Amino acid sequence: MNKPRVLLADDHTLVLDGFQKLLETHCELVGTAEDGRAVVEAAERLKPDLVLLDIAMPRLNGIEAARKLKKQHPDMKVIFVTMHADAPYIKAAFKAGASGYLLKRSAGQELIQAIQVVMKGEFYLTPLITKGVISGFLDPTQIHVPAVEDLTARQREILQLVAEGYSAKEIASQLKTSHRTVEFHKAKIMEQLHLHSTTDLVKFAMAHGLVTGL
Amino acid sequence: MSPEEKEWRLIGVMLLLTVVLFVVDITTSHGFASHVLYTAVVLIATASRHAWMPSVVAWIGTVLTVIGMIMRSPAMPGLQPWMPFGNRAFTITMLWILVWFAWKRREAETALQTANDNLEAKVLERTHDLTAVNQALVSEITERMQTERAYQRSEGRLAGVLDIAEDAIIVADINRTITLFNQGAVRLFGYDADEVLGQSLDLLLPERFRGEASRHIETFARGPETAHRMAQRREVFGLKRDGTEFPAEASISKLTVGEDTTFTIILRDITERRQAERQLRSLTAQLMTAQEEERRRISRELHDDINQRLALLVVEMGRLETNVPDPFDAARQDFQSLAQRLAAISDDVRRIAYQFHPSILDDLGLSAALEQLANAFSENTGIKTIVVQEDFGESLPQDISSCLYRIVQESLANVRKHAKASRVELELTCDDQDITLCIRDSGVGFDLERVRIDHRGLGLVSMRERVQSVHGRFEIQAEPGQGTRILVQIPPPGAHDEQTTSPVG
Repeated sequence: MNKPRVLLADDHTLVLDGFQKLLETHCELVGTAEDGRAVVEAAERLKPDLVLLDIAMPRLNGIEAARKLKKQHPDMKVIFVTMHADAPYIKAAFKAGASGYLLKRSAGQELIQAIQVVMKGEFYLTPLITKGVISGFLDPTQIHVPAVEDLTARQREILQLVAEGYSAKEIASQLKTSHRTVEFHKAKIMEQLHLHSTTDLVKFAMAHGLVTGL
Repeated sequence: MSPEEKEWRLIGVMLLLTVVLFVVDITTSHGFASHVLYTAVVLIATASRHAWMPSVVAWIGTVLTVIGMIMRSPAMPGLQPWMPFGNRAFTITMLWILVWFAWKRREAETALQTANDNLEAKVLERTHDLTAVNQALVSEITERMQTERAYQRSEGRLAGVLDIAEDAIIVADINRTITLFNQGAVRLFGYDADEVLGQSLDLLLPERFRGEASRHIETFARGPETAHRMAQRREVFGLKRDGTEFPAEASISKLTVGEDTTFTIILRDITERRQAERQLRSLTAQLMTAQEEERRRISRELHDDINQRLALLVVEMGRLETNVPDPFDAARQDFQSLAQRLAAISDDVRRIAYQFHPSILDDLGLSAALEQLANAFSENTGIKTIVVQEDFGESLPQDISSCLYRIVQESLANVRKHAKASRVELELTCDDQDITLCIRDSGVGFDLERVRIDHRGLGLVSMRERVQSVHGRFEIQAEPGQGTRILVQIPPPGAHDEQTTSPVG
């Protein structure tokens, strides 16, 4: 198997140097970049197989950079090597199109393995990231049935008024808020409850006793 | 000579005269009618103090005349015998006529005396009345003068107050016509008093506020209130002669005497205060931005530099560890434990950096940051936390997202420390007017007044200031047992130039 062509992006020269040493036996390092825009430009120019990205970078952060890279080159693999172990970062990274995520401090052991896994078309997530984080990725519908308790007081109000047949405009004037806010809440309620139409909302409201039939 | 002595002397004279006359009467012959002279005694008797004296004397005279006729020597020859009788009868008649006259006179005198006395009494009474009236008048006049003086004093005092008052004091009648315009008003508005007296109050108001102000005054005139501080929350504006407007603080009072109602309006220019407030606010905002900036810098320094280097050390050590030949297994284990300790330090540094400034806010935006905050809160406290938020993406300026993040952070800390809540709801929405953040908990709430007095504050002051630094409004509703609701409304970027204004009222 050919050595994968890797583009390395990090704003710390020390880190760049350190990673270069780690990579040199298994990969072909085609270039380095020190900020988000530079990496997008370099990728355009060098067409690497894989880009190693940090999240915190000047000018354009890693998440945004990954989004751009994947948009322009859907086949290009992206692995984040970063300091952040928090769920939202990991979520954001994979949403942006990353195939791998690992922490810098375990890069010594994991980087090569991660690259190999990702180059096979699979995903890699560092084992350092706790179980709690993984449970966060699980689709909430599988473990959680949408319920009225998951709505805020305001959302319940709006849901009830929707079920009673008021238009968004009427609701807005009743609750002294803007039309836009009501529309936002309505959409958000549907999203939270996995419903798709106003009819569904009415049914849900009736089923949960928010409104007593029409 | 006393009246008593006079009386006795009079009686003496009368006795003497009577005796003399009697002697003469009985000793002279009949032709001499000397007894007629008894009438003289009666005349003298009328001078007595006693009213009965003339009648007593007349009686004596009558008796003596009769006795004289009996004891008298025989009549002169040639004289008709009826003549001495006739003389004596005449004398007696005369005597009693005199008595009658005397009595009549005495009666007239008494009547006169009575009339006199009455008159005098009446005069006295009248005089008394007049004196009383006079006294009343005098006291009334005194009182009036005192009142007048008091009035002048009060007038003077009022004039003094009006003159030295820094505030503009304007009095207007029910038709809003200006009737008084003090020096303060002259200084403030730039009009001379005679220019505005008789004019409408509208002259002093920017045109856009006139209608509302007039409605406001009418409502006030009808209302039961006698004094009212206007614009406790919103600003009042005045219009100077040169056409410039100024923000003012105003109070109004009304006075109704009989049918007339007048309004007194006291007005103070608060341009400078507003300016100072604005400066203070902008200073606070700068301070907060600077603080936030500094925290961000320290955080970055820790996270992106120190921590990266630590991580790199871990990587290097891992590399060295794999290069250690098998016989030196103990050394390899040392390397591993060192690497683990370094990793732990790296974790700590990362946590400290995060406390200084949540890098997630810069890296992933407000939505992700809030979600992370709420999840962590929920995990640490077991309080169900619901987040409903619009995703602003990149559109939100750093100061606003920092502000919102800090408010949520502070509110959640309060909920954890004080609220004993089982549920927190967090809503972040946006429309053309405002970005609205609402945080509601189901906890025990608290007494806002008491918290204010205790100066515990719950960080409420700094929250308010933080919101004001991005031109937003901060509102907190809390009541014991009713939970707490925090509402933050921030004008979206580019909309914060407009100010909330209002007319007099």
